[in-house]
Amino acid sequence: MSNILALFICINILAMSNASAYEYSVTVVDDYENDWLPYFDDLTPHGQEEYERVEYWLHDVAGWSEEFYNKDAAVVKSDFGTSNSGYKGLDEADFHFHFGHGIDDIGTELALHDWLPGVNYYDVRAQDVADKWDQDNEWVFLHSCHILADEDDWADALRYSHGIMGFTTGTRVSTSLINRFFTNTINNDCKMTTSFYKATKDTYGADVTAAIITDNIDQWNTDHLNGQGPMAASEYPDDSEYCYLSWEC
Amino acid sequence: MNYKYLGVMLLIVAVMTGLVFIANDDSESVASLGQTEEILISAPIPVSTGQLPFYKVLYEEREEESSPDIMDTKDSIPSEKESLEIASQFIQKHGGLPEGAYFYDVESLYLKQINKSSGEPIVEAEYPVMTEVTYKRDINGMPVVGPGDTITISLGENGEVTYFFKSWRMLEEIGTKEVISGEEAIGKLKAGQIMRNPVGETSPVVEIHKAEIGYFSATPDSEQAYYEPVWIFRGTDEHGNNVTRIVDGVAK
Repeated sequence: MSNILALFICINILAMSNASAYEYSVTVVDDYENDWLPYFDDLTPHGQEEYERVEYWLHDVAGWSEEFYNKDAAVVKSDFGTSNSGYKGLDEADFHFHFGHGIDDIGTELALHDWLPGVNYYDVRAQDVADKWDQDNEWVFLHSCHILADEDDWADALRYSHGIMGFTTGTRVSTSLINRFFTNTINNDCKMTTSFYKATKDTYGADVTAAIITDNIDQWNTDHLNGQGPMAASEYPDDSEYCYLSWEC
Repeated sequence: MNYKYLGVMLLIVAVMTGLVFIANDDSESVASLGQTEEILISAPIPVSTGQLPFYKVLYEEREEESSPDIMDTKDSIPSEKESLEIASQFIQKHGGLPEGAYFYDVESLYLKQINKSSGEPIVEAEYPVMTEVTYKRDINGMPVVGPGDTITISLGENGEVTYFFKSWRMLEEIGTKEVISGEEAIGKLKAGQIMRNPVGETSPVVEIHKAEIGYFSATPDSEQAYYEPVWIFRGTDEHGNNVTRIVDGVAK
Protein backbone atom coordinates (compact mmCIF):
# COMPACT_ATOMS: atom_id res chain seq x y z
CA MET A 1 0.00 0.00 0.00
CA SER A 2 2.80 2.38 0.95
CA ASN A 3 4.54 1.58 -2.34
CA ILE A 4 1.42 2.53 -4.28
CA LEU A 5 1.10 5.73 -2.29
CA ALA A 6 4.76 6.60 -2.95
CA LEU A 7 4.27 5.92 -6.67
CA PHE A 8 1.14 8.09 -6.70
CA ILE A 9 3.05 10.93 -5.01
CA CYS A 10 5.95 10.58 -7.47
CA ILE A 11 3.61 10.68 -10.46
CA ASN A 12 1.91 13.77 -9.11
CA ILE A 13 5.19 15.50 -8.38
CA LEU A 14 6.37 14.65 -11.89
CA ALA A 15 3.14 15.95 -13.40
CA MET A 16 3.34 19.12 -11.36
CA SER A 17 6.97 19.71 -12.28
CA ASN A 18 6.16 19.25 -15.98
CA ALA A 19 3.23 21.63 -15.76
CA SER A 20 5.31 24.35 -14.16
CA ALA A 21 8.64 23.81 -15.92
CA TYR A 22 8.37 27.16 -17.69
CA GLU A 23 6.58 30.37 -16.90
CA TYR A 24 5.09 33.10 -19.02
CA SER A 25 3.81 36.55 -18.18
CA VAL A 26 1.52 38.90 -20.07
CA THR A 27 0.84 42.62 -19.96
CA VAL A 28 -1.99 44.17 -21.95
CA VAL A 29 -3.08 47.78 -22.23
CA ASP A 30 -6.35 48.05 -24.15
CA ASP A 31 -7.77 51.07 -22.35
CA TYR A 32 -6.04 54.47 -22.24
CA GLU A 33 -7.11 56.93 -19.59
CA ASN A 34 -6.22 60.11 -21.46
CA ASP A 35 -8.04 59.19 -24.65
CA TRP A 36 -8.76 62.86 -25.36
CA LEU A 37 -5.15 63.17 -26.49
CA PRO A 38 -4.71 63.02 -30.27
CA TYR A 39 -2.73 59.80 -30.20
CA PHE A 40 -4.30 56.54 -29.27
CA ASP A 41 -7.41 54.56 -30.06
CA ASP A 42 -8.96 52.29 -27.48
CA LEU A 43 -7.81 48.79 -28.33
CA THR A 44 -10.56 46.92 -26.46
CA PRO A 45 -11.07 43.96 -26.79
CA HIS A 46 -8.04 43.07 -28.89
CA GLY A 47 -5.48 42.86 -26.09
CA GLN A 48 -7.66 40.65 -23.95
CA GLU A 49 -8.19 38.40 -26.95
CA GLU A 50 -4.45 38.23 -27.58
CA TYR A 51 -3.91 37.29 -23.94
CA GLU A 52 -6.40 34.47 -24.30
CA ARG A 53 -4.48 33.17 -27.32
CA VAL A 54 -1.18 33.28 -25.43
CA GLU A 55 -2.82 31.55 -22.48
CA TYR A 56 -4.28 28.86 -24.74
CA TRP A 57 -0.95 28.04 -26.36
CA LEU A 58 1.41 28.34 -23.43
CA HIS A 59 -0.83 27.20 -20.58
CA ASP A 60 -3.34 24.87 -22.18
CA VAL A 61 -1.21 23.38 -24.96
CA ALA A 62 2.37 23.57 -23.70
CA GLY A 63 1.59 23.25 -20.00
CA TRP A 64 3.42 26.37 -18.83
CA SER A 65 2.60 28.26 -15.64
CA GLU A 66 1.33 31.81 -15.72
CA GLU A 67 3.59 34.02 -13.63
CA PHE A 68 1.25 37.01 -13.95
CA TYR A 69 -1.27 38.67 -16.22
CA ASN A 70 -1.80 42.38 -15.73
CA LYS A 71 -4.15 44.53 -17.74
CA ASP A 72 -4.81 48.24 -18.27
CA ALA A 73 -4.35 50.25 -15.03
CA ALA A 74 -2.86 47.19 -13.32
CA VAL A 75 0.12 47.27 -15.70
CA VAL A 76 2.96 49.14 -14.02
CA LYS A 77 6.51 49.94 -14.99
CA SER A 78 7.96 47.32 -12.68
CA ASP A 79 6.10 44.59 -14.61
CA PHE A 80 8.74 45.11 -17.28
CA GLY A 81 11.61 44.13 -15.05
CA THR A 82 12.85 47.61 -14.24
CA SER A 83 14.15 46.63 -10.82
CA ASN A 84 17.25 44.67 -9.90
CA SER A 85 15.82 43.69 -6.54
CA GLY A 86 12.45 42.69 -5.15
CA TYR A 87 9.71 42.27 -7.74
CA LYS A 88 11.34 41.65 -11.12
CA GLY A 89 8.25 41.55 -13.32
CA LEU A 90 8.82 39.91 -16.68
CA ASP A 91 12.27 38.77 -15.60
CA GLU A 92 10.58 36.22 -13.36
CA ALA A 93 9.16 34.34 -16.38
CA ASP A 94 10.81 32.62 -19.33
CA PHE A 95 8.62 34.34 -21.92
CA HIS A 96 6.83 37.66 -21.79
CA PHE A 97 4.16 38.96 -24.15
CA HIS A 98 3.08 42.59 -24.22
CA PHE A 99 0.26 44.17 -26.21
CA GLY A 100 -0.47 47.89 -26.31
CA HIS A 101 0.42 51.15 -27.93
CA GLY A 102 4.02 52.02 -28.68
CA ILE A 103 5.16 55.50 -29.55
CA ASP A 104 8.29 57.34 -30.60
CA ASP A 105 8.33 60.18 -28.10
CA ILE A 106 11.95 61.38 -28.06
CA GLY A 107 12.88 57.69 -28.12
CA THR A 108 10.52 54.78 -28.32
CA GLU A 109 8.38 53.81 -25.35
CA LEU A 110 5.59 51.47 -24.35
CA ALA A 111 2.57 53.49 -23.32
CA LEU A 112 0.89 52.56 -20.06
CA HIS A 113 -2.74 53.16 -19.10
CA ASP A 114 -2.22 56.75 -17.88
CA TRP A 115 0.27 57.69 -20.60
CA LEU A 116 1.04 61.35 -21.20
CA PRO A 117 3.41 62.94 -23.72
CA GLY A 118 6.97 63.52 -22.60
CA VAL A 119 9.63 61.36 -21.05
CA ASN A 120 8.73 59.18 -18.07
CA TYR A 121 5.02 59.92 -17.86
CA TYR A 122 3.54 56.45 -17.48
CA ASP A 123 5.75 54.83 -20.06
CA VAL A 124 8.43 52.18 -20.27
CA ARG A 125 11.57 53.25 -22.09
CA ALA A 126 14.70 51.34 -23.07
CA GLN A 127 16.64 53.20 -20.40
CA ASP A 128 14.27 51.83 -17.74
CA VAL A 129 15.29 48.26 -18.51
CA ALA A 130 18.94 48.67 -19.51
CA ASP A 131 21.00 45.78 -18.05
CA LYS A 132 17.95 44.63 -16.07
CA TRP A 133 16.84 41.39 -17.72
CA ASP A 134 19.23 39.05 -15.99
CA GLN A 135 17.21 36.56 -13.99
CA ASP A 136 14.77 34.12 -15.58
CA ASN A 137 13.57 35.68 -18.83
CA GLU A 138 14.74 34.44 -22.22
CA TRP A 139 12.41 36.07 -24.76
CA VAL A 140 10.12 39.10 -24.90
CA PHE A 141 7.45 39.63 -27.58
CA LEU A 142 6.35 43.26 -27.92
CA HIS A 143 3.22 43.63 -30.04
CA SER A 144 3.40 47.41 -30.20
CA CYS A 145 4.25 50.00 -32.83
CA HIS A 146 7.75 51.40 -33.39
CA ILE A 147 9.55 50.05 -30.31
CA LEU A 148 12.41 48.27 -32.06
CA ALA A 149 13.15 51.32 -34.21
CA ASP A 150 15.44 52.09 -31.25
CA GLU A 151 16.97 48.64 -31.38
CA ASP A 152 20.36 49.80 -30.11
CA ASP A 153 18.78 51.08 -26.90
CA TRP A 154 16.43 48.14 -26.30
CA ALA A 155 19.32 45.71 -26.87
CA ASP A 156 20.79 47.01 -23.62
CA ALA A 157 18.02 45.21 -21.72
CA LEU A 158 19.48 41.84 -22.73
CA ARG A 159 21.93 41.21 -19.95
CA TYR A 160 21.35 37.45 -19.69
CA SER A 161 18.01 37.42 -21.47
CA HIS A 162 18.22 36.23 -25.10
CA GLY A 163 15.96 38.16 -27.41
CA ILE A 164 13.23 40.65 -28.22
CA MET A 165 10.70 40.37 -31.05
CA GLY A 166 8.76 43.38 -32.22
CA PHE A 167 8.22 46.02 -34.85
CA THR A 168 10.08 49.08 -36.07
CA THR A 169 7.08 50.62 -37.83
CA GLY A 170 3.40 50.80 -37.08
CA THR A 171 1.81 47.39 -36.71
CA ARG A 172 -1.77 46.28 -36.46
CA VAL A 173 -4.15 44.26 -34.38
CA SER A 174 -4.29 40.76 -35.74
CA THR A 175 -6.39 37.75 -34.97
CA SER A 176 -3.78 35.42 -36.43
CA LEU A 177 -0.29 36.64 -35.45
CA ILE A 178 -0.18 34.85 -32.11
CA ASN A 179 -1.75 31.65 -33.40
CA ARG A 180 0.73 31.50 -36.28
CA PHE A 181 3.68 32.21 -34.01
CA PHE A 182 2.81 29.48 -31.52
CA THR A 183 1.83 27.02 -34.24
CA ASN A 184 5.36 27.48 -35.54
CA THR A 185 7.10 27.32 -32.17
CA ILE A 186 5.01 24.62 -30.45
CA ASN A 187 3.39 22.47 -33.14
CA ASN A 188 6.22 22.66 -35.66
CA ASP A 189 9.16 23.12 -33.25
CA CYS A 190 10.56 25.97 -35.36
CA LYS A 191 13.22 28.25 -33.95
CA MET A 192 12.14 31.56 -32.43
CA THR A 193 13.54 33.60 -35.32
CA THR A 194 11.90 31.44 -37.98
CA SER A 195 8.61 31.34 -36.08
CA PHE A 196 8.35 35.11 -35.81
CA TYR A 197 9.52 35.68 -39.38
CA LYS A 198 6.92 33.30 -40.82
CA ALA A 199 4.15 34.55 -38.55
CA THR A 200 4.72 38.18 -39.53
CA LYS A 201 5.12 37.38 -43.24
CA ASP A 202 1.84 35.45 -43.18
CA THR A 203 0.00 38.14 -41.24
CA TYR A 204 1.02 41.55 -42.52
CA GLY A 205 1.72 43.34 -45.77
CA ALA A 206 4.78 45.28 -46.84
CA ASP A 207 3.94 48.41 -44.84
CA VAL A 208 4.84 46.65 -41.58
CA THR A 209 8.47 46.02 -40.65
CA ALA A 210 9.22 43.39 -38.02
CA ALA A 211 12.52 42.91 -36.21
CA ILE A 212 14.37 40.68 -33.79
CA ILE A 213 17.25 41.47 -31.45
CA THR A 214 19.32 38.74 -29.83
CA ASP A 215 22.15 39.08 -27.38
CA ASN A 216 24.47 36.99 -29.56
CA ILE A 217 24.62 34.98 -32.76
CA ASP A 218 24.38 31.56 -31.06
CA GLN A 219 21.02 32.53 -29.61
CA TRP A 220 19.92 33.78 -33.04
CA ASN A 221 20.81 30.48 -34.70
CA THR A 222 19.80 28.10 -31.92
CA ASP A 223 16.96 29.27 -29.72
CA HIS A 224 13.64 27.47 -29.75
CA LEU A 225 10.80 28.22 -27.40
CA ASN A 226 11.69 26.70 -24.03
CA GLY A 227 10.94 22.99 -24.09
CA GLN A 228 10.51 22.79 -27.86
CA GLY A 229 14.16 22.34 -28.86
CA PRO A 230 17.69 23.52 -28.14
CA MET A 231 18.36 26.88 -26.59
CA ALA A 232 21.78 28.56 -26.52
CA ALA A 233 23.38 29.47 -23.23
CA SER A 234 22.77 32.88 -21.73
CA GLU A 235 25.64 35.23 -22.41
CA TYR A 236 27.83 35.30 -19.32
CA PRO A 237 29.51 37.62 -18.77
CA ASP A 238 27.38 40.01 -20.77
CA ASP A 239 29.24 41.98 -23.44
CA SER A 240 28.34 45.06 -25.45
CA GLU A 241 27.44 43.20 -28.63
CA TYR A 242 24.06 42.22 -30.00
CA CYS A 243 22.53 40.95 -33.24
CA TYR A 244 19.72 42.56 -35.18
CA LEU A 245 17.65 41.97 -38.29
CA SER A 246 14.51 43.63 -39.61
CA TRP A 247 12.34 42.75 -42.60
CA GLU A 248 9.36 44.06 -44.48
CA CYS A 249 6.42 41.77 -43.89
CA MET B 1 2.79 74.30 -11.27
CA ASN B 2 2.11 70.61 -11.70
CA TYR B 3 4.89 69.50 -14.02
CA LYS B 4 2.97 66.35 -14.89
CA TYR B 5 0.69 68.40 -17.10
CA LEU B 6 3.32 70.72 -18.54
CA GLY B 7 3.98 68.25 -21.35
CA VAL B 8 0.27 68.13 -22.17
CA MET B 9 0.04 71.92 -22.38
CA LEU B 10 3.11 72.07 -24.57
CA LEU B 11 1.60 69.40 -26.79
CA ILE B 12 -1.64 71.34 -27.22
CA VAL B 13 0.33 74.46 -28.15
CA ALA B 14 2.41 72.41 -30.56
CA VAL B 15 -0.66 70.87 -32.19
CA MET B 16 -2.33 74.26 -32.55
CA THR B 17 0.84 75.69 -34.06
CA GLY B 18 1.06 72.72 -36.38
CA LEU B 19 -2.51 73.15 -37.55
CA VAL B 20 -1.97 76.80 -38.39
CA PHE B 21 1.22 75.95 -40.26
CA ILE B 22 -0.37 73.11 -42.16
CA ALA B 23 -3.48 75.11 -43.05
CA ASN B 24 -1.25 77.59 -44.82
CA ASP B 25 0.63 74.85 -46.62
CA ASP B 26 -0.05 73.93 -50.24
CA SER B 27 -1.35 70.52 -49.26
CA GLU B 28 -5.01 70.00 -49.82
CA SER B 29 -6.20 69.75 -46.26
CA VAL B 30 -5.53 68.53 -42.79
CA ALA B 31 -7.73 66.99 -40.18
CA SER B 32 -7.55 64.75 -37.20
CA LEU B 33 -8.13 61.13 -38.08
CA GLY B 34 -10.15 60.06 -35.10
CA GLN B 35 -7.78 60.31 -32.20
CA THR B 36 -4.73 59.14 -34.03
CA GLU B 37 -3.52 61.04 -37.05
CA GLU B 38 -3.58 64.19 -39.04
CA ILE B 39 -3.76 63.48 -42.73
CA LEU B 40 -2.05 65.55 -45.38
CA ILE B 41 -3.13 64.83 -48.94
CA SER B 42 -0.52 65.70 -51.54
CA ALA B 43 -1.70 63.27 -54.20
CA PRO B 44 -4.01 63.80 -57.16
CA ILE B 45 -7.36 62.19 -56.39
CA PRO B 46 -9.37 60.51 -59.16
CA VAL B 47 -12.68 62.39 -59.30
CA SER B 48 -15.18 59.94 -60.72
CA THR B 49 -14.91 56.20 -60.65
CA GLY B 50 -18.34 54.76 -61.41
CA GLN B 51 -18.87 51.02 -61.40
CA LEU B 52 -16.15 48.46 -60.87
CA PRO B 53 -16.28 44.66 -60.81
CA PHE B 54 -16.46 42.73 -57.59
CA TYR B 55 -15.54 39.12 -57.09
CA LYS B 56 -16.60 36.09 -55.13
CA VAL B 57 -13.80 34.04 -53.54
CA LEU B 58 -14.11 30.46 -54.76
CA TYR B 59 -11.26 29.06 -52.70
CA GLU B 60 -7.77 29.89 -51.50
CA GLU B 61 -4.77 28.13 -52.94
CA ARG B 62 -2.12 27.84 -50.28
CA GLU B 63 1.28 26.20 -50.45
CA GLU B 64 4.12 26.35 -47.99
CA GLU B 65 7.50 24.69 -47.89
CA SER B 66 10.16 25.69 -45.41
CA SER B 67 13.44 24.39 -44.09
CA PRO B 68 14.16 24.63 -40.37
CA ASP B 69 17.03 27.04 -40.88
CA ILE B 70 15.30 29.83 -42.82
CA MET B 71 16.61 32.51 -40.52
CA ASP B 72 19.97 30.96 -39.64
CA THR B 73 23.06 32.77 -40.81
CA LYS B 74 24.64 31.29 -43.95
CA ASP B 75 28.11 31.32 -45.45
CA SER B 76 26.67 32.90 -48.59
CA ILE B 77 23.41 33.67 -50.34
CA PRO B 78 22.73 34.21 -54.05
CA SER B 79 22.85 37.72 -55.45
CA GLU B 80 19.56 39.46 -56.05
CA LYS B 81 19.97 38.97 -59.81
CA GLU B 82 20.69 35.25 -59.41
CA SER B 83 17.76 34.97 -57.00
CA LEU B 84 15.30 36.30 -59.56
CA GLU B 85 16.35 33.59 -61.99
CA ILE B 86 16.23 30.82 -59.36
CA ALA B 87 12.83 31.99 -58.10
CA SER B 88 11.47 32.10 -61.64
CA GLN B 89 12.63 28.55 -62.34
CA PHE B 90 11.20 27.37 -59.02
CA ILE B 91 7.83 28.87 -59.79
CA GLN B 92 7.77 27.27 -63.23
CA LYS B 93 8.20 23.90 -61.53
CA HIS B 94 5.25 24.76 -59.28
CA GLY B 95 2.74 25.50 -62.01
CA GLY B 96 3.98 28.94 -63.08
CA LEU B 97 2.82 32.34 -61.94
CA PRO B 98 -0.95 32.66 -61.53
CA GLU B 99 -2.88 35.20 -63.57
CA GLY B 100 -2.37 38.72 -62.28
CA ALA B 101 0.89 37.93 -60.45
CA TYR B 102 3.76 40.34 -60.92
CA PHE B 103 7.28 40.65 -59.55
CA TYR B 104 7.18 42.96 -56.54
CA ASP B 105 10.56 42.97 -54.81
CA VAL B 106 13.87 41.25 -54.20
CA GLU B 107 15.82 41.89 -51.03
CA SER B 108 18.88 40.41 -49.36
CA LEU B 109 18.71 40.12 -45.58
CA TYR B 110 21.81 40.22 -43.41
CA LEU B 111 22.03 39.73 -39.67
CA LYS B 112 23.99 42.63 -38.22
CA GLN B 113 26.36 42.05 -35.33
CA ILE B 114 26.63 45.36 -33.54
CA ASN B 115 29.06 46.52 -30.89
CA LYS B 116 28.25 49.34 -28.47
CA SER B 117 31.42 49.31 -26.41
CA SER B 118 32.30 52.81 -27.60
CA GLY B 119 28.82 54.05 -26.74
CA GLU B 120 27.73 54.32 -30.35
CA PRO B 121 26.43 51.25 -32.20
CA ILE B 122 28.98 50.05 -34.75
CA VAL B 123 28.23 47.23 -37.19
CA GLU B 124 31.07 44.74 -36.71
CA ALA B 125 29.88 42.06 -39.08
CA GLU B 126 27.03 41.23 -41.42
CA TYR B 127 26.01 37.60 -41.84
CA PRO B 128 23.97 36.52 -44.87
CA VAL B 129 20.56 35.10 -43.98
CA MET B 130 18.47 34.96 -47.17
CA THR B 131 17.57 36.62 -50.41
CA GLU B 132 13.84 37.04 -50.62
CA VAL B 133 11.81 37.35 -53.83
CA THR B 134 8.22 38.49 -53.61
CA TYR B 135 5.36 38.48 -56.11
CA LYS B 136 2.09 40.29 -55.60
CA ARG B 137 -1.18 40.54 -57.49
CA ASP B 138 -3.19 42.98 -59.50
CA ILE B 139 -6.70 42.61 -60.86
CA ASN B 140 -7.31 44.17 -64.27
CA GLY B 141 -4.36 46.48 -63.65
CA MET B 142 -5.60 47.55 -60.22
CA PRO B 143 -3.43 46.74 -57.20
CA VAL B 144 -4.33 44.22 -54.53
CA VAL B 145 -3.12 45.24 -51.08
CA GLY B 146 -2.96 43.29 -47.86
CA PRO B 147 -1.13 40.19 -46.71
CA GLY B 148 -3.00 37.68 -48.88
CA ASP B 149 -2.33 36.98 -52.57
CA THR B 150 1.42 36.85 -52.13
CA ILE B 151 4.15 34.51 -53.28
CA THR B 152 7.38 34.61 -51.30
CA ILE B 153 10.50 32.61 -52.12
CA SER B 154 13.51 32.81 -49.82
CA LEU B 155 16.88 31.51 -50.93
CA GLY B 156 19.81 30.40 -48.84
CA GLU B 157 23.18 28.81 -49.44
CA ASN B 158 23.82 27.61 -52.99
CA GLY B 159 20.45 28.95 -54.06
CA GLU B 160 18.53 26.48 -51.90
CA VAL B 161 14.88 27.45 -51.50
CA THR B 162 14.54 27.74 -47.73
CA TYR B 163 11.01 29.14 -47.74
CA PHE B 164 8.21 29.07 -50.27
CA PHE B 165 4.89 30.57 -49.38
CA LYS B 166 1.97 31.04 -51.72
CA SER B 167 -1.44 32.34 -50.80
CA TRP B 168 -3.68 32.97 -53.78
CA ARG B 169 -7.46 33.25 -53.83
CA MET B 170 -9.35 32.04 -56.87
CA LEU B 171 -11.92 34.65 -57.85
CA GLU B 172 -15.07 34.77 -59.94
CA GLU B 173 -16.48 38.09 -61.16
CA ILE B 174 -20.11 38.26 -60.11
CA GLY B 175 -21.13 41.84 -60.86
CA THR B 176 -20.23 45.47 -60.40
CA LYS B 177 -20.47 47.91 -57.50
CA GLU B 178 -20.72 51.68 -57.42
CA VAL B 179 -17.51 53.15 -56.03
CA ILE B 180 -17.49 56.21 -53.78
CA SER B 181 -15.72 59.34 -54.98
CA GLY B 182 -12.22 60.33 -53.95
CA GLU B 183 -13.64 63.10 -51.77
CA GLU B 184 -15.87 60.66 -49.92
CA ALA B 185 -12.96 58.29 -49.47
CA ILE B 186 -10.80 61.07 -48.02
CA GLY B 187 -13.66 61.94 -45.68
CA LYS B 188 -13.67 58.36 -44.41
CA LEU B 189 -9.90 58.36 -44.10
CA LYS B 190 -9.95 61.52 -42.01
CA ALA B 191 -12.75 60.14 -39.87
CA GLY B 192 -10.61 57.12 -39.07
CA GLN B 193 -12.88 54.71 -40.96
CA ILE B 194 -10.02 52.56 -42.17
CA MET B 195 -10.11 48.84 -42.66
CA ARG B 196 -7.33 47.82 -40.28
CA ASN B 197 -6.63 48.87 -36.76
CA PRO B 198 -3.12 50.14 -35.93
CA VAL B 199 -1.56 49.14 -32.61
CA GLY B 200 -0.22 52.38 -31.44
CA GLU B 201 0.38 55.93 -32.25
CA THR B 202 0.65 55.77 -36.00
CA SER B 203 2.15 59.22 -36.41
CA PRO B 204 1.08 62.75 -35.60
CA VAL B 205 1.14 63.46 -39.34
CA VAL B 206 0.74 61.12 -42.28
CA GLU B 207 1.33 62.53 -45.73
CA ILE B 208 -0.47 60.75 -48.55
CA HIS B 209 1.42 60.73 -51.84
CA LYS B 210 -0.70 58.37 -53.87
CA ALA B 211 -4.39 57.54 -53.98
CA GLU B 212 -5.78 54.75 -56.12
CA ILE B 213 -8.54 52.20 -56.29
CA GLY B 214 -7.88 48.50 -55.94
CA TYR B 215 -8.82 45.49 -53.87
CA PHE B 216 -7.97 44.23 -50.40
CA SER B 217 -6.73 40.73 -49.71
CA ALA B 218 -7.05 39.59 -46.10
CA THR B 219 -4.62 37.45 -44.13
CA PRO B 220 -4.04 34.02 -45.64
CA ASP B 221 -6.36 31.39 -44.17
CA SER B 222 -8.80 34.03 -42.97
CA GLU B 223 -12.33 34.00 -44.27
CA GLN B 224 -12.87 36.49 -47.07
CA ALA B 225 -15.99 35.94 -49.15
CA TYR B 226 -15.66 38.80 -51.64
CA TYR B 227 -13.14 41.17 -53.19
CA GLU B 228 -14.79 44.57 -53.41
CA PRO B 229 -13.22 47.86 -54.53
CA VAL B 230 -11.28 49.80 -51.91
CA TRP B 231 -9.50 53.12 -51.88
CA ILE B 232 -5.79 52.75 -51.21
CA PHE B 233 -3.87 55.70 -49.77
CA ARG B 234 -0.09 55.40 -49.72
CA GLY B 235 2.24 57.82 -48.03
CA THR B 236 4.81 58.27 -45.31
CA ASP B 237 4.69 58.98 -41.60
CA GLU B 238 6.83 61.46 -39.72
CA HIS B 239 9.62 58.88 -39.43
CA GLY B 240 9.71 58.38 -43.19
CA ASN B 241 8.13 54.92 -42.93
CA ASN B 242 5.82 53.82 -45.70
CA VAL B 243 2.19 53.91 -44.64
CA THR B 244 -0.82 52.39 -46.38
CA ARG B 245 -4.37 53.22 -45.36
CA ILE B 246 -7.30 51.34 -46.85
CA VAL B 247 -10.87 52.63 -47.01
CA ASP B 248 -13.95 50.64 -48.05
CA GLY B 249 -14.73 51.92 -51.55
CA VAL B 250 -18.26 50.61 -52.08
CA ALA B 251 -21.09 53.16 -52.12
CA LYS B 252 -23.85 52.13 -49.72
